[in-house]
Amino acid sequence: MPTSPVEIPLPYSPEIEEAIASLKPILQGSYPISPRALSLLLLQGDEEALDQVREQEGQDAFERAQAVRTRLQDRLSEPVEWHIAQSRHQWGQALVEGALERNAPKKSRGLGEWLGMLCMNPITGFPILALVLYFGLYQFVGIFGAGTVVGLIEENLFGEIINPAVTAFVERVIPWQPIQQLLVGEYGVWTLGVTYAVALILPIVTFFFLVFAVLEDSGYLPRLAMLIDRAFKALGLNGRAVIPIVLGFGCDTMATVVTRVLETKRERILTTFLLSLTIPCSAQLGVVLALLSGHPKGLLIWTGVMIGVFLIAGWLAARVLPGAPAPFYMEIPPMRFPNISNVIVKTLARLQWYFLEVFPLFLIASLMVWIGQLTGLFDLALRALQPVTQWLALPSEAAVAFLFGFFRRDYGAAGLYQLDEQGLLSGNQLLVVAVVLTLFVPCVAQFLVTLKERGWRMALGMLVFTLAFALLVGVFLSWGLQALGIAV
Amino acid sequence: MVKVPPWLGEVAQTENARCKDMMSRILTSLATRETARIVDIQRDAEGHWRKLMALGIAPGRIITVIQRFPTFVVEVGHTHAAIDRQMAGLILVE
Repeated sequence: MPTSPVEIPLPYSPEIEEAIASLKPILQGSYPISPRALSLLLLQGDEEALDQVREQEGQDAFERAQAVRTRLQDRLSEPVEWHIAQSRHQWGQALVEGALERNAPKKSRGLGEWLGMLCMNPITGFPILALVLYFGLYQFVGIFGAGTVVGLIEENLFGEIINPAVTAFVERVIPWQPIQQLLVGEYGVWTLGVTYAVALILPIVTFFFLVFAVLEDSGYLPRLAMLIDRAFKALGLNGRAVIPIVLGFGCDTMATVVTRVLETKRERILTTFLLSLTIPCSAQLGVVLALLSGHPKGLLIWTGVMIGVFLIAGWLAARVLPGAPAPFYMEIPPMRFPNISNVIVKTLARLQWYFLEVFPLFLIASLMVWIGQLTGLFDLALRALQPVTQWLALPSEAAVAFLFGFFRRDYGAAGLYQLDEQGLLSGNQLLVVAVVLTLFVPCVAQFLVTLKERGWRMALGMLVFTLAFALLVGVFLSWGLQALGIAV
Repeated sequence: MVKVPPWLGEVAQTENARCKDMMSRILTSLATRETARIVDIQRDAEGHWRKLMALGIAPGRIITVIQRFPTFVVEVGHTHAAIDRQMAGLILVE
C-alpha cells in the first residue's frame, strides 16, 4: 500500500552534519532529490551528483562544494563514505532490533535450504549442474523443443499444410517469376525467412527462455556462480560472468548486452569474446543437437571441442589482456520454487524482444539472398567459399550454410539441417561443419551489439579472429578424424 | 599466528600486526560453522569494502562461515553471501 512518505531523521556525526549545513547555501538549483540527500552524495564523491552540481551551480560554487568535502575528509580518520555507511548500518540495525521479533530457530532444514546446500557443495554441485544441463538443455530444449516440437511445426504444419498453400496462392496471383522467387522460392521471404523464424527458431528459443527463467527464479544461478568462480578466475573472469555466459546459450546478442553487469572493462571484453567465439545460442544449439542426435560419438566430440576451445581461448585471452580478475561477491538468495506466472511473463517478454530483433533480420537476409541470386553475386560468393569447403572436406553445398551463417549463426545451422535431410553429409562431415559453424563469426545482430558495446576496433578484431580460428579448428578436426581413423 | 595470504601484500602485513594487538583475526582463519563478531572491514584502495558493507557485512555484526570451498559462503543476519578469498580477507573478526 502506498502511503505518504514519513521523514525519519538519520543523524550523522557532528562533522558530517556541519558539512551538510555548509553545503546548503551552495545548492540553489532544482534537483530531483532533497538537498540533504544530494549533500550526502556530494560528500561521498558521487560522480553523477558532482556533474549535476557543476552544471546547475557553475564552476565557482562547484569548487566551494569540493572544498567542503576536502575539509571534512581532513577532519575524519577514515573515508567519508565509511563514516556514512557505518552510521546507516548502525541506525538500520537499531531500527530492526526494535521492530523484529524472532521465533525460536527452526531445527529442521526445509527442502529448499537442503537443495541449496547441495548445489553449492562441489561434490554434489557439479553432478547437479550436469543434470541441469542434461535435462534442461539437452532433453527439454534439444530433444523435445528442437526435435519433437520443431518437427511438428516445421515439417507437418508449415511443410505440408501452410507452405504448399502459400506457394500455390502466390504462383496463381503473381505471374512474374522473379517475384515468385522472392516470396516462395528456395530462399524466399516466406519459405525461408518466415518459416525458419516462426517454425524453427521461435520454438527453440521459447523452450530455452522457459528453462532460463526457471533457473533464474529458483535461485540456482548465484549458486552456480559461486561454484564456478575458481574455474572462471583462470579465464580472467569471476563467478559473476556465469550469468551472461549461461544466457548466451539462449541468445548471444542478449548476453552481450548483459555483460554490463560485470564490473571491469576487462571482464566485459573477455566475456564478449568468449560469447562470440564459443557459446552456441539456443537456436544453434538446438539445430546442432538435432543434427548430431544420430551420432552420439559426434555430439561427445563436439562438446569436448567446445569446452576445450572455451578454456584454451579464455585462458590465452586472459594472458594477453593486462589486469587481474575482479574479486567475487554475490548475495545467495534462498532456493525457492519459481512462481509459474512470473516465469511465463519473463519468457514472453524475452520472446517479444527476441522476435522483434530477429524477425526483420530473417526477412532482410532472404531479400539479400534474392538480390544476390538475381545479380549473380550469390553464386560468386559461393564459388569463393568453395576452397574453404574443400579444406574442410565438405561437399560444396555446405558453402550455402556458411554464407547464411554471416546473416545469422542459427540461420546457417538451419541451412545444414536441410543438407542433412537430403542425406548429403557423412557423420564426420556433420561434426566438422557443426564445430565450424558454432565457432564461426557472430550473427549480424550480435556483431552490431558488440560494435555498440565494445567499439569498432574490438568488434572487427573479434570478427576476423573468430573467422580464422573457426576454420583452423575445423581443418585440424577434419584432418585429425581422418588421421586417427575415427568415424562418428 | 594469523596466516597472511600472499596477495594481500603490505597492507595485510600491517593490518595483521594490528589485529594481533587487538586479538582479532582475518575471517579466512575461521573454520566452517564457526561464528564470530566483525570488528573491522579493511579499507582497501580499490574500494571493495563498500561492496561488503552493501551486502550487510559491517562492523558489529555476527558472521558465520557456512562454507569455505570452492568459495566462502557467509551468513550475516538473514543474508547469505558468497565472497571469494580476497574479499573474505578484508573482514576482521574476534
